Amino acid sequence: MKREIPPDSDPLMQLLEEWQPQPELSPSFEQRLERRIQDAAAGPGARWRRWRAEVSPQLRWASAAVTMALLLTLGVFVYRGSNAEPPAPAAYQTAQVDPVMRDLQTLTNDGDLLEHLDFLSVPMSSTSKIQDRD
Amino acid sequence: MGAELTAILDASVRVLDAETALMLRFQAGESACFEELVGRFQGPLLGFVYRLVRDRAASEEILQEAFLRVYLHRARYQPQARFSTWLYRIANHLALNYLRDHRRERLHDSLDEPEEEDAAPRELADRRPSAEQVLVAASVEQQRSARIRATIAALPARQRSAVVMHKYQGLDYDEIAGALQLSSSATKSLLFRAYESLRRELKDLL
Repeated sequence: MKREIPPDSDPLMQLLEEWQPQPELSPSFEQRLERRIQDAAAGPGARWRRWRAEVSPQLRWASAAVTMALLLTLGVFVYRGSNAEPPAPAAYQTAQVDPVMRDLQTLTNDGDLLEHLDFLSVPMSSTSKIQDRD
Repeated sequence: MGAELTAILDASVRVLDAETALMLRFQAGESACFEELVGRFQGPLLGFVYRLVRDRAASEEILQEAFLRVYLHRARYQPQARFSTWLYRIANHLALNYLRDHRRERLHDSLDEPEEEDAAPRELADRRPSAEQVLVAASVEQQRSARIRATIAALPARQRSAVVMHKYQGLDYDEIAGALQLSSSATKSLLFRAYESLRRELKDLL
């Protein structure tokens, strides 16, 4: 089989003709290219220098003031964030203890108290014996 | 000295094509020649890049980058290759890089998606239902065009570039070979395989 590129008269080549997109360049194409070339030729920082040259001094001062204000606001927020009171430790957060647990705790405390009160009966009898001896 | 150099250049570039001569004069310091080259190539090169990336804004960016590289690297240009070959090589390289970087987005591209230049007639069709027959014909044409576009887009990268350069840009085998950095015989083989694939995929439209 001969490996040849199809000629223009080939149906495939004629079919491919149907795809004819016609993109157009934007009117600012050459202007933008010129600018990019100027930037590239001027080296790094060219955009910044061009902005400075193009913008009026009043606008430069205004943008500097806005930037300062934003930085100050940011600084205040950061400062406040670092000096905020830490949250209360868990030990102090007793207000939300479960009522059932609180009742059980009360019962335990009462039981302890009653146990400690038992000693009252024992010394009472012994002291009476001592008094009897006297 | 300057006049002598110009005379030597003029004599040596007489045998070269006009664009290569312009490039050599630009290398020698004539900035106006660069503008002339941009003017001559921006249209054809946009057609080439657009057929590869199918996005007008991206094509324009690639074109800007290609011309910028020509400007910045003008000293590297060697007149062994034609200027057009060098320029197409740069543009092809940038377009393929773009396609590689945006592969995921391109996966969503489908046959049903209208091309940018197809979108306007479709909107017009919505507004003018009275011209129904005309619109049906236009729609069929759009579908055929979209099918061709998608089939070419589905080719491997080198085959796609070769077909666009050969069929739509009218470059000869040597120029395509230079742009793709292949031998002339390898380029012919590449084109043959590409056209055979297209014939197979589009046989129902032939």
